[in-house]
Amino acid sequence: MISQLVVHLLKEAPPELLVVANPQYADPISFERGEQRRYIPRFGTQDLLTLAHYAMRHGWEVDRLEIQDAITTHQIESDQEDSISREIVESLSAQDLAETIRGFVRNFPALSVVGVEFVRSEDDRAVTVRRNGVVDAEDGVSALDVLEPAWRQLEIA
Amino acid sequence: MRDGAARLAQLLSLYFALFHLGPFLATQAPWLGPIGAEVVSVIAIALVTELVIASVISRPEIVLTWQDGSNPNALKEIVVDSGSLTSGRARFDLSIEAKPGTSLGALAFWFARGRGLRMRVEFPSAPVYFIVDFSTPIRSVGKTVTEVHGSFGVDVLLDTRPVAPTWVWARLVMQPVPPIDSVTNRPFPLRVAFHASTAFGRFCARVIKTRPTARILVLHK
Repeated sequence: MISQLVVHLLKEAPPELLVVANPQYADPISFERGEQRRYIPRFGTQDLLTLAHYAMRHGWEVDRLEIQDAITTHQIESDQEDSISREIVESLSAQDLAETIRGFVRNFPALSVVGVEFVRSEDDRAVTVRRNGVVDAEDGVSALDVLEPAWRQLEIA
Repeated sequence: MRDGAARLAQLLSLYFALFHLGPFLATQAPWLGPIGAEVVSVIAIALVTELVIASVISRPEIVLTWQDGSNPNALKEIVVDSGSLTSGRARFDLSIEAKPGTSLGALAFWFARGRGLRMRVEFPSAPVYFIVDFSTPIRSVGKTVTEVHGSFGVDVLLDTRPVAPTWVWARLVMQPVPPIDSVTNRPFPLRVAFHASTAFGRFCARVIKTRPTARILVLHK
């Protein structure tokens, strides 16, 4: 099911993270309500890799990264995307996060990570989190399960 | 030109200190002695000259260089078509370089960054927002460059030592706020403003000027 993450900035408490259903695939930015201090998270490549790195050490596996060629309009072949995704996930698993980020910028300057598929280790349920806070989750799992603990510790987006 | 003017000011002030202020001081404060008077006048004039150079001739500055991925040259204006915007391919690199100019300029940077210096870079009223794809220096918690909620820009946290040539680097993805058709071909000026957590930090930041390579954003259909 497609849903949208929304950050609710509170005056005297840490920001609250909400998941709002988005069955019509509305543009993420249409969920922003400035007057209510509700904004969509802006996950860049660095944020998504940071989330993936954190999740891999807290009960989740990263099954796949969604990758986009950010310069040319041609789509990356799925074989190539899978191969790069595997390489980055292995690096996240084995290396320091900063080293993985530096390696990505150095080796894939034209690419951006635009989504991460997280799989919960205990029951294999998957949830994908994308660039503007777009979420695609299987039944029985919520993006909040993976994002909320990371959110508090990592101060991202 | 600026360096030449600064050197000329230093030479003139040295001449004034050695041949006018020093002898005058020696007559007014004979207990200093002729050498002591010269030393005091040279130090005093050097400080005043440095202050004048730092605040008038060679102010400390931050250079913001905009580039796109396909061209190593700095952009003079940021031109984006709506197709790139909607497909997530309007991506730009922003490099930030500190040029203290003088030792007082370096002090202004040092004091300001020690007081939570932030620089907001934005295109007010442009129908776009930014996603920070990457930013350096990489932090273990948070990012050096962050998106600003409710604003069409980013905040750059300048709390690290300003290393040369690139102090902070960010790769920004521009995203559209629909509808954008009504504002195409209209230029949106860039605004750069400093924020610091203390009044003294804000005072130091006021001395620092900014020089962006690109000052406008133009959206095309």
